[in-house]
Amino acid sequence: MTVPPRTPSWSEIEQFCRIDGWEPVRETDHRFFRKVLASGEVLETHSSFDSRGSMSQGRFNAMLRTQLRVTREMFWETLRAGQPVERPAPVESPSAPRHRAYVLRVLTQELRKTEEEIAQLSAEEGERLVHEHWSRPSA
Amino acid sequence: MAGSDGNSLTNYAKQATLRVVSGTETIVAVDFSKAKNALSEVMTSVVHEHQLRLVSRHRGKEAMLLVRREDLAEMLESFRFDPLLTVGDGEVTAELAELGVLGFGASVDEALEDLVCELRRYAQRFFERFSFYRATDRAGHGPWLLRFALTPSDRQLELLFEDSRREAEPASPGAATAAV
Repeated sequence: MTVPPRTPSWSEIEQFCRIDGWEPVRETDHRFFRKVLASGEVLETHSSFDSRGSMSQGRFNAMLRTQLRVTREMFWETLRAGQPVERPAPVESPSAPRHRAYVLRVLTQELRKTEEEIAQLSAEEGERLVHEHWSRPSA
Repeated sequence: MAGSDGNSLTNYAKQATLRVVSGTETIVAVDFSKAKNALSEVMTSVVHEHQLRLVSRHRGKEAMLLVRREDLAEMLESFRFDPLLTVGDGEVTAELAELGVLGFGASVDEALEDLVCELRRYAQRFFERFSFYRATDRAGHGPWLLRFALTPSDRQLELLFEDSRREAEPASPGAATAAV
């Protein structure tokens, strides 16, 4: 199947949860969903009350990997076919390098790296830049 | 350890008023009804003297542990948070993949603040429905969430940068000298 390059709207995330048999749970400022797999694994996610808006690619990738626990292809196929995901299912891989909190904070706030520059850095390169920055004698 | 100063004797006298259920307990166990009658003394020993107390009833079949909040937080210090972040489409994504928790924002700080809010929600759910979560694969999240919940709210964000401080220490000559 052809995978749309766009990210889903919040209402499509909710539609996925409904088709895949997630249980809606009451929460005050989010629509919250839970699914318990046959293995005993508990999956949880929530959507924004602004169900019209969509999300960034990074957010969608993170939700697929850590919460919905499916690939991008399986997500769209579930919406298309209206059938729940067959689990255990393969999980999406990270779409961009992931940096530790202190590395990204120094890269953005002290080294003034742009989003585009950071996107070119692996996690190891980012750490090396930070440690080089720290090792320089202060003026 | 027996102390010879007045305070130690006073403490010993206080403890003697609480009937220790069993001499073989690693933690001093106190019978429920005795603990109830001497709750102030029990709490003083737990909070001010950093003593753990096991309160039990039905001949030890049921027990609960009393521990000072800050002492428990210290005991849980090895359960550290190390979020990973990505940047793209003008948005920063912060994730604690092991806990299934995500935060988002226009900057690193915004994403981490959102992650703290999500951790609060998750910790609240977890402890409200602990009997559910403890029977699932998420039971292992307990120590991290308990440590987070025991940390004052104005210091919870700091937990997400603990490892940045640890990484920064070797770069500091003062820290290196102090470690010798």
